[in-house]
Amino acid sequence: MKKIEKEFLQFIQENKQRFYYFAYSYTKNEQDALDVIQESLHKAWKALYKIKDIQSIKSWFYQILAHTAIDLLRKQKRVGVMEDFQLEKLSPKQCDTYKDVDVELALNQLPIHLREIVILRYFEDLKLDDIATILNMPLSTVKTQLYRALKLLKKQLKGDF
Amino acid sequence: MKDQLKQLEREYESVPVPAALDEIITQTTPRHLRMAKKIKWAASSIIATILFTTTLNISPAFAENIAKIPGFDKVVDVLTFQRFEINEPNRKAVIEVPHVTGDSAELQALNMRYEKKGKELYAQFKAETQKNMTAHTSITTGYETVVSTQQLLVVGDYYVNNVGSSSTTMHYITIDKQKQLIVTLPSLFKNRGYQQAISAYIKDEMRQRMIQSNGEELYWVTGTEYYKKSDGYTFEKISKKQNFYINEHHKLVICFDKYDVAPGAMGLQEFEIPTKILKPYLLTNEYIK
Repeated sequence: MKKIEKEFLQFIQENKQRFYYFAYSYTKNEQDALDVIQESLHKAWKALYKIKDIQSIKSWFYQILAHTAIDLLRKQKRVGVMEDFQLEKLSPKQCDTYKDVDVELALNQLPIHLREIVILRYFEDLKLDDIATILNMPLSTVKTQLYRALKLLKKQLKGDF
Repeated sequence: MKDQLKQLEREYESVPVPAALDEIITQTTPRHLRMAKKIKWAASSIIATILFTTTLNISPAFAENIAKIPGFDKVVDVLTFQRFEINEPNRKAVIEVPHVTGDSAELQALNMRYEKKGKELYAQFKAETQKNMTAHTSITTGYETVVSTQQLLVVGDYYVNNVGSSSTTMHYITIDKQKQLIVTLPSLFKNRGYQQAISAYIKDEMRQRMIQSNGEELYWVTGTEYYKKSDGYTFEKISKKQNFYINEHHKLVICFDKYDVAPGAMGLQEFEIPTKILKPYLLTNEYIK
């Protein structure tokens, strides 16, 4: 067994539940989440030989997960990638009050491209640099998007403050 | 905000993780890396319900084949040699081991491989399900005759594994009936150039299918707007041991298992390769025309 294979196996065993949470945050149903994981693992095992640096396994695999999940959603056409102007239009206005919005709903109300940044940063503990790689965007964009996401969350959670 | 994020995180992690996740992990792990499992035979009363048949299946079809033998010529054909079956509420397995008639050493070796594979699958399935008795699992393996002409016999043996979602693999063997030889891919060509030529054709074909279907059909190949290198794995070229067969029209068919070159939903993939692409590399026109 090669070292990288061993590391990857161990990484899978230690984080498999987290893969599921992550996949589920996109698909919102069990079967699709499992499909995303299955497909991602297939891709990962095939491409594993290209990995030079063991340290990068985590962000590399999350990148595959995120892309596979988005692909699936795109296919199902349940969710389209939202443009900023749509986002502005659809997000709750400053004056709105959402007293009964529960916390989970708040996260799910974020458009997917903001939600994934919050999840990767705060729940999966990834560095901003890594998130930029995973989501294939400039670091500056990650920063502004994260800021925007937090602002939106704050608004939605206003009742709790 | 910190508290809220903690709360959100708890929600994020509150999703129940299904048992099938472990099966998926085992299933996707390359075979050589799976933990060597101690196989416990006769561990419990469960064994009593296991049907274990090892019978040479002398079917009417087989009898017919014997009748066809013109005195000294032995007919190359495929029949069921062994059948293993497990039938329980939570786990079902049907393993059919094919056997190719013929007396060349090569065909005998092929039969040994089939037999060994069947036994291994049976033992592996038992060991894996013993560990996790709650998940519904089933496997089905068997074979089918894909092509049978005067010259060629193509046998495809398949393996279907159902654990929540299913995975299927299919492996083909192309046999020259007259020579009692197994046809391999490299043996058809003068040099390795065929790999590049076939791969290029297949990738173009994939791109066209993706464009024509507006990305509804997806292959793991770059060059269109539908799939990027950053999406993970990309298909580059066929392997030395590429799965293939030769169909009844004398065309080469390149085959891929689920997840080989496309998302699982795309299923098994086959590409018929136009002979004009192969012409410069072909050693003989015996099989491919």
